[in-house]
Amino acid sequence: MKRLRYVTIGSVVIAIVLSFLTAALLGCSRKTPEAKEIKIGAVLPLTGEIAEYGKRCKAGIDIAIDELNKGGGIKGQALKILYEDSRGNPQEGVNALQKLIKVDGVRVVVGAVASSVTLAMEPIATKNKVILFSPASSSPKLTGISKYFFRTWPSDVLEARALANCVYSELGLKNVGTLYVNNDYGLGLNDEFTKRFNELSGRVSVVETYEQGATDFRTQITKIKAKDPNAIYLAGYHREMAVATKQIRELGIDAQILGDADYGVQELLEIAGVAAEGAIYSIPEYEPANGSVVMKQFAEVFRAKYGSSPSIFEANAYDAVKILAQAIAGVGLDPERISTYISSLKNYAGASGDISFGIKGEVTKPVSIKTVKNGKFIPFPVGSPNSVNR
Amino acid sequence: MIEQVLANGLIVGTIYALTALGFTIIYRTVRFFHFAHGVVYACGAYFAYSVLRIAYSGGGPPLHEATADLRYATTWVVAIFAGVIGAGVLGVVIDRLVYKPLRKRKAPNLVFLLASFGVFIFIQNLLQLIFGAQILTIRAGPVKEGHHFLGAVITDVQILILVVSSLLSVALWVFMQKAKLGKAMRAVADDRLAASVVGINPERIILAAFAIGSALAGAAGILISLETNIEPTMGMNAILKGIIASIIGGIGSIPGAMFGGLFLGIAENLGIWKISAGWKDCIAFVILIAFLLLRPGGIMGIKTEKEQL
Repeated sequence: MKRLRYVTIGSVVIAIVLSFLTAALLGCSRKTPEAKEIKIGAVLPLTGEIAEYGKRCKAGIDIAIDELNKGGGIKGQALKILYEDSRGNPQEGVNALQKLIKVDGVRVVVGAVASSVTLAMEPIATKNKVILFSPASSSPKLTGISKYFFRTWPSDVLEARALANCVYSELGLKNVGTLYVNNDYGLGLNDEFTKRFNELSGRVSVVETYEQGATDFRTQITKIKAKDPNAIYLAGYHREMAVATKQIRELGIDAQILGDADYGVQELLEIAGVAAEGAIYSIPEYEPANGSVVMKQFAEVFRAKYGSSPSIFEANAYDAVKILAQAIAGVGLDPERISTYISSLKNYAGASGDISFGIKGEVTKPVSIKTVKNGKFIPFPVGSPNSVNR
Repeated sequence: MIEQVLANGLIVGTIYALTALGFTIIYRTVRFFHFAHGVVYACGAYFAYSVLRIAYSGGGPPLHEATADLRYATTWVVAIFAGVIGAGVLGVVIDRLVYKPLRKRKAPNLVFLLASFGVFIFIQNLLQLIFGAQILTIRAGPVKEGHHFLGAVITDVQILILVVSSLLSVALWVFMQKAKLGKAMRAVADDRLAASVVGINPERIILAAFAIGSALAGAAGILISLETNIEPTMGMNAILKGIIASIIGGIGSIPGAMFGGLFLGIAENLGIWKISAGWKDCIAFVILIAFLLLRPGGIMGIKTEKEQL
């Protein structure tokens, strides 16, 4: 009996030891392919008020990752994208970035979309020497902020200056009122527009703001109406601009409506309807139909996959990943060397157009002026060539 | 200019009032903050949208260009009823599935509040899952300049909002004063125990309160979506303003909820006019704090009770 007990105990001990050994071995063998993966983080607003843009960027990123992996990844290593949700909130964006750096150990991150979120995330990325690459943040405050920060969306400076030039010189309007969203994005656009418009000896006679997500602008518009400007510049996101456009017309104001890059979104027309007719806005140029082979190709792949045409968001996000992948393929996963690589990149043929990184690592791209006519977005002045570099 | 600012305040104020009314009706019977009321408001709009979407999918103009065409009159009536009744049913379902089991366990008020938050987030995410995060629109006609009236400009939809909200508020007040069910609801609100002694079934009254209150939220949601848009997150702001309106009006009071809503809407817009739009929400909360400190009973001077949070 006693021997039987020893045998039982003995076999149990052996079984335990064996299972540990197997588990350890299995663990090792499972780890091997993981080490061959290159992880890229992405912090995007996948839910919340600006989820629309997060989803657009994600669509572009997914195509880029698919393409890269089908082509054998980077030197045989597959790319893996880790999405985190910022909900368009700076605090959430910082948390997401911390998680990606500390838990997942990523060295390059795509994001964020809203300038306010990117501005909050940048110090964390820089402190940890992690590359942060935004596909959509346009605040002038981000220019030259860190050697670890890059973007494919140009600064608002270009866009707002182009619009101010057009309003003063081509439209001949000298008195403008502005209504902007009270965050880094709106403030940046408003400041740059006002600065340029004053330089041209135009006058910004009234400045009003609203909070992101607002749906009632009537009292601000009433205040603008009292100053009787020739044009009203709406600097913000398309949802708010759409409702503001509608309310401006409903309150019987016939001033020229001006918008920013986000004015050129189909959803805006659905909300504002005929009220948006004749509105003028400036946008980083994106016309895949008249563009390079890469631009056309991306638009085709996108249409085949999602059944709709891509916007500049998808193209910019796609380019961000492709540029990062090219840098990693060239110099490896060292953020220091990736930074040097990207900042010297010139005339990169991207899905969003030709991309160059100039002074302070800032991206430069052409800007075009467009207008709404018969429910379509067309170049302004009507009949002009697409690309107008102002 | 003051006329237009007051008109703007009045329009948004009636929407606040309508949300506050629904919230108040429920609060006075169950005595906890039914936070999910905000998402019921959003659902009202989504229900109406779904009916219109289905009706217009078989040809006809795109939804956002839909005009007040008589051929579609029945569709609109059906959509509005679907929104209002759907919201009412949703309120009842929330009560039966979530609050009733908690009542049986005699859960403290804090648990109800947390459960309510949970329901809010759950349904809001469900809306986002089904309809997407993008905004949807229902329009009763093309955008055009409003009518000039007493120095202000008011559109057809805004007149509709003012008229419907006023009618609903008055109808509710008459119902609570005259109808047997309304009286029973007031009795339960005053003293649940005493009401059950005279043979009023409190569960039935709670059911009625959720049905009526939620239907009002649905109506408010539809009205605001005609004026602006529908989006999954629209409920949060609505319920915050609804709660503030009912507290400054005098929590639990029906005329109080109405006056509170109008007061809040006008005060906010005067604030935007005289100070700046950035202070809009701040003004709302300052008014709330001022009332809590100086006149906790609100405009109607309702006595505070120990059960309140």
